[in-house]
Amino acid sequence: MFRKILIANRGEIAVRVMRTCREMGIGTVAVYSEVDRKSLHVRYADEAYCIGPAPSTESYLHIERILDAAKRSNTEAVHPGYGFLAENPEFARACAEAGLVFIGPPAAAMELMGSKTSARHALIQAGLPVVPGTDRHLESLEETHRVAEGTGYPVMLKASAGGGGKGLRLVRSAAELESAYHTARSEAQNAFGNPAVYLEKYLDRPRHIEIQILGDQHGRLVHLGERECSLQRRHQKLLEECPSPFADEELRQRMGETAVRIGKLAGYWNAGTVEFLVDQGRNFYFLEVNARLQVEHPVTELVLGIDLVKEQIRIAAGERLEWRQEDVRLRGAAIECRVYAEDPTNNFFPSPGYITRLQVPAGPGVRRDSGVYEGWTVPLEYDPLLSKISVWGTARADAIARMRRALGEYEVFGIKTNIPFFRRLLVHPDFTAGHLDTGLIDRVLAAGLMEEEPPSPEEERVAALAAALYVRGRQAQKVSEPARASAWKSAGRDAALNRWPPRGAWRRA
Amino acid sequence: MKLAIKIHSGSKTSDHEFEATEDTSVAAGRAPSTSRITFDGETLLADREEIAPGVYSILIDGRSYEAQVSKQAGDSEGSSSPYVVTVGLRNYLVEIRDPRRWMRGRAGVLDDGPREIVAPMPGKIVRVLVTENQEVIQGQGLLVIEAMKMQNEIRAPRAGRVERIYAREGTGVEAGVRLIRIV
Repeated sequence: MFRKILIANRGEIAVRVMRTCREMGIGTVAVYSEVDRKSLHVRYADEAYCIGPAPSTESYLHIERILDAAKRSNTEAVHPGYGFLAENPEFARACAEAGLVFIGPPAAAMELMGSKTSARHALIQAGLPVVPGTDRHLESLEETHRVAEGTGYPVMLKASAGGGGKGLRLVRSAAELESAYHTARSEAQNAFGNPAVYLEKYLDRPRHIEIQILGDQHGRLVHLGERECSLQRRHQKLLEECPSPFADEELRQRMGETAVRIGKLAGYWNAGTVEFLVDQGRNFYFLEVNARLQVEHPVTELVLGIDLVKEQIRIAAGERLEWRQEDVRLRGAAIECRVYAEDPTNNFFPSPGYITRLQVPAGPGVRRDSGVYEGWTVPLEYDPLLSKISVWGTARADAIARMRRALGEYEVFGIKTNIPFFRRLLVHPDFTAGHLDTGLIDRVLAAGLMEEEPPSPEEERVAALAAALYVRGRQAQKVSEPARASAWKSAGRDAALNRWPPRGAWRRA
Repeated sequence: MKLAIKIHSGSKTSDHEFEATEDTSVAAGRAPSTSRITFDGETLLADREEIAPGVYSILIDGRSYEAQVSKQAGDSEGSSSPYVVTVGLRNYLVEIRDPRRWMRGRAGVLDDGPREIVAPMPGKIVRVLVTENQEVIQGQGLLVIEAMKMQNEIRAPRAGRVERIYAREGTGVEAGVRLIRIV
């Protein structure tokens, strides 16, 4: 087993990986950019090395500097986390050349699955379902008929040059195709000066459901069930669940088997995720493979009682996967919310800055993966993910109640977070009913999810009292100051106010 | 001493009369203290404790509240700018005015006085959405700034007229740089 692992990442995932390393008795090596010197992952690690200034290209994406840190620290293996270099085959190969074990899939599998077109092509060859569509223009009505039949109705005709809802036609059957084809083309011509249209399968309110796969270097590859990740905004996942409220055992099995087939096709080992879009008719279509550990892995861990990072490390060290497919049983339900430094009342505008106070949830069934602490300044150079809050419950309804409770305990002061958004989403009827699709978040936001609540008169008088106490407290401090100028008291107060050097500290007889 | 208090909750503002008298002194540091408070003529007893600087546990009629008080970023402690008070899960802005010194029409952060909208963080001005002299409503998009790999709209904090546009499309700005003046 490795004696030391370098984590080529930052923030919550770096801390999370280090936690498992600690449990396994493996030394942890952090790398950090100049602006991350005081970050949690640096404080947590056994060793830490600066790899450059703030910009990612100069630090967390700088392969040479990271490998240099690995060399200086005598590291044996590298965990890439997610994002940054996690799916970069050049990095995986560079690690191997430097004599380091890359904790992840083989570079070849990463390459095959890394390009959406090559992945799609490989899967189509293997007869596996992909999101049907053409990338090229349709040259004639006859061709359009053929492609539409091959794709399967309903289909969407889309203007190649287009956008803004123009040149879009939903076609439910072959009978509707001819007129739709002509009107779509003329609309496109009028709006964009180009009549060319292409075609995609119309997925009605699709759900994003992904399958976790895990394989060792000895040929065993299993799936660990699904995660539902339909709740997205601007293609960024915000809330994930395991299991999917939409999946039954039959769908899980079909999708799981397909995911394993895809993994084997790619020669995959270690942890990965196969993403699918699922339509209301329970047909699923391959979207892409994420050849890395994903942000939302905790919900799978909670429901299966597994430590995926530990499995990743064991697999990378050449050990055999102990999990067999029949061992995989989903128990209870888990939900995860991604807490971002964003202002949900202002179009989710990023809100980096100084965290003045932090109150965090705890108690039964609550898991918090965080990269921040009270007194930390969230930098603006990186993804504003602060933490992930996950809960486990015996069933989905219990998990929802638990998440509501946990969100009520979670308070971040000094910066804005999307926690108020989650509080409201968690009580929205569509969410509680499990009617999830990739358009839900945009719809509920447009319908006024973040609308102001009426003020509470009870709270207002508490606010008035608190403000008055605060003012009086400040005045009392000013009054007592000249009367009792004790150097120790001033030093204590100055330290509390973060002033350095403490005023009066040098004033000695 | 009676205080005139303005409380802003979201876009709603209300005026109140507030008075608090103590049974024990604040600086004494003794066990639980009670305040007798009068809020808009109604009197109640509040048991209050400071948990941490600016953080108070307040019990009224057995109901337990937690309030955190601070100033908005950029406001100094001693000024008459409002306090941000978080009670439970909601934020309130509280302005405390000693009525003996309160002057009508004095421009404050939340009044109808001119507002200089500044860049909240370094970024690039991608698009200016309004023109000088244009009337805008609260929440109307003024310009689009690109920061942290995302494009975001800066919106009018209140209704008014765009008096000056300092920002220019395509330029980079530092945090705190003036962008638009609304009167």
